[in-house]
Amino acid sequence: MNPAPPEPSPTVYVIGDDPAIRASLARLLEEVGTACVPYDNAIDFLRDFDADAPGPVCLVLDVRIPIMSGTDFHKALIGRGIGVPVILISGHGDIPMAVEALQRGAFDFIEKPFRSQHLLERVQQALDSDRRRRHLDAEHHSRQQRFDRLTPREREVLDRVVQGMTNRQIAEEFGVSSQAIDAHRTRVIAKLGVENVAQLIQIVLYHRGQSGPPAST
Amino acid sequence: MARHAPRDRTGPGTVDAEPVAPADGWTQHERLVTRRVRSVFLVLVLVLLAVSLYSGYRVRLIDAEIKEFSLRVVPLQQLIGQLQRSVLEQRRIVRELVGADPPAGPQREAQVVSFEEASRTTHTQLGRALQLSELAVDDSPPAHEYERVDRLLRAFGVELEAYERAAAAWTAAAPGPEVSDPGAADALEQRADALGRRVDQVRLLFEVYAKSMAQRVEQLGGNARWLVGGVATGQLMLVLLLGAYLRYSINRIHRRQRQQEQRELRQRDELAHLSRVTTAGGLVAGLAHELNQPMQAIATRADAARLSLERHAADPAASRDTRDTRDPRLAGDLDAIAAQATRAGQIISRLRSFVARREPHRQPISVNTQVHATFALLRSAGRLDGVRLSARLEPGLAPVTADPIHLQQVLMNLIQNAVDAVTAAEGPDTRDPHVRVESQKLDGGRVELRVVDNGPPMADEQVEQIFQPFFTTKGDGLGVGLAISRSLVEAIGGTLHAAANPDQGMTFTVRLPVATGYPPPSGVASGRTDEPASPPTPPTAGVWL
Ligand SMILES: Nc1ncnc2c1ncn2[C@@H]1O[C@H](COP(=O)(O)OP(=O)(O)OP(=O)(O)O)[C@@H](O)[C@H]1O
Ligand SMILES: [Mg+2]
Repeated sequence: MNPAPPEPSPTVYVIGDDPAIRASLARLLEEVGTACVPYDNAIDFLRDFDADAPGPVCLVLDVRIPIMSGTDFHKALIGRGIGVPVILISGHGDIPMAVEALQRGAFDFIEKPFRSQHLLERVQQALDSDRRRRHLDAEHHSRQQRFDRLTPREREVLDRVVQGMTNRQIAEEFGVSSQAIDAHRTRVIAKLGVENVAQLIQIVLYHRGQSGPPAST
Repeated sequence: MARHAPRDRTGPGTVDAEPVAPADGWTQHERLVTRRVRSVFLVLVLVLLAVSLYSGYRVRLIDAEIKEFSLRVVPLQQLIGQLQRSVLEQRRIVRELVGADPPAGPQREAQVVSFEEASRTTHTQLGRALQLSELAVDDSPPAHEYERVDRLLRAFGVELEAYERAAAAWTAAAPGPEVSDPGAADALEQRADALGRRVDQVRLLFEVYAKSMAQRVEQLGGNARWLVGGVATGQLMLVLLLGAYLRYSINRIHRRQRQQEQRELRQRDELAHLSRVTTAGGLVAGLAHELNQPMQAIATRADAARLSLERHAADPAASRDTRDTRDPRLAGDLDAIAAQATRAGQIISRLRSFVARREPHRQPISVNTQVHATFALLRSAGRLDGVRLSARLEPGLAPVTADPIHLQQVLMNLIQNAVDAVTAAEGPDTRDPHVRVESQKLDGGRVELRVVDNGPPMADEQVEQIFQPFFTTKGDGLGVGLAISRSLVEAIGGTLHAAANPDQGMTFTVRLPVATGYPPPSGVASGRTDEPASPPTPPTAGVWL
């Protein structure tokens, strides 16, 4: 499936309590052609943020009182299922805090003072990462839809194909002809949009890895 | 008066002589001068004392002599004069009786009687004269004069007796002139002459003596006047001198008190400064972080501006087209850079003015402004550790006369203590650590500042202790914060008290007198106008961002 060529423009959300820093970051990002939405507090951001809006986003967080409020914010983000990459900026620069932030899934931790180039690079990478994430999400989504189109019998056949059973073995188990199984398999391959069994196994494993045991239910 | 002199002198002297001399703050020179002045005073007082005592002694002597003169010399002189007269009277009667034409019969009898009377008078007078001279010989200083008089008087007495006996014998033996014995009469006459000479002698002698005595007494009287004047002058000078010394001492004590006060003031300022430096040491890390903010903004702006320029340079067409739109953005960058540089400067100068060592400068200031300034300093130093800090300030308060840095220091100490208290009470029920600063107008031209916390309350007996220097319950505390705060507040006529709140935590209350000449007619000018750049944001430290 090919995504629409005019990709939605990326947006960087800058959250920080220092207006000067916010404004300077916005100015820098706009200079390189990235839309920037500043917020002076996280609560407003959480209220406004629309995770379903198109276009890659990333979050630049200028934290003042980091650990505690950062934790709360991350919890809030995760609680809302917002998977945007977060770049933390801090002037405190203490290692435990950086480690904790990264462990909690922050995209990066940048210590003040930083070079603008460095920040821009990391923002680009974060946007790329979000772009990838969104792409994968979209693929996953369409694949899920395709899986949903399979009939129960087709799923059972798929399960067994992935387990490595031959047509004959499957036919024996179900007490039908191996031609019937072959027909099922061909339909499954068609419905899921793959070319051969190898690809079929790949995407099924990938799908399961992404979202748990899906088709077996 | 003179008796008191030494006591008064040693009075202030003992104060100086305390063994704490090096700590009393006198310079070597001052002590030397003091010692000299004191010894000069001592010598003068002693001389005057001696003069007074000697003069007094002399005056008493003169007094005694003059009394002697009027008690002995004068009466004796009079007695001798009377004696002479009565002897002459006796002699006259005898002459008549033994004369060429002696009276007879009752006339003669009368003459004899009057002779006897004169004789009695003479004896009485002689007796008294002898008595006087005898006494004088016994206890008068110029005794030899009296001795001569006495001797003469005694000789006179002997001769008088002899004369009287002769006269009596004669009158008895010769009842009339017809039986007169010219020889006996001659002898009697000779005796009478001798007697007269004697009494003349006594009188003469004594007159000379009395005259010299009178002269002496007169001279002594002059001396005495002079001496009395001397004594009086001496005593007057003594009084003046003591007055001067007392004044000098009192001035000296005053000067010393002033110096002591100044020294204490200096010490207090130094201690306050030291404590500010310590406090600032704790703020520095946070302030360094705070400095990062404008620095970062400046760097980012500068990079953005450079990128902008590069983009325009790479695209001359765009440069022409966007000249109009490009300029405002670059100008905005430059403005922002300038503003952030100023901000960084302010952070530094806020810290610098807090720790600067300088003379206290009292001026009318708004307490609310200082509360905001302290908040800014504390908050920018990130010292609040998740404590909610809020202010409830009464607008339009009259200013107080104080050094702004000292007031900030007091607030800083109180707020820091409160923050320490509410964060130290780390327990299961420390949900909402909160410190509130309140200001309020009081009656009687005063302004009140309160720092209220919801930490653990303190027992009353502990509240008494916490203002003592070096009392602390903190591991890293010096224990001088409250002591210094109180002395700073008291130095501007205010008070600082602590009390436990009825429910929880403590309240520290500062009361300050309003600056003289306030409140102004209409309360237009409040602390708002001269507030620093940071707006009175509702403090929400601890809440996310
Ligand atoms: N708000 C408060 N609540 C409870 N206890 C307090 C409060 N303020 C002061 N104290 C007590 O008073 C003591 C003395 O305070 P003070 O400010 O003089 O010294 P410190 O804070 O210990 O040291 P530092 O010299 O660093 O200020 C503190 O150690 C603390 O025990
Ligand atoms: Mg203290």
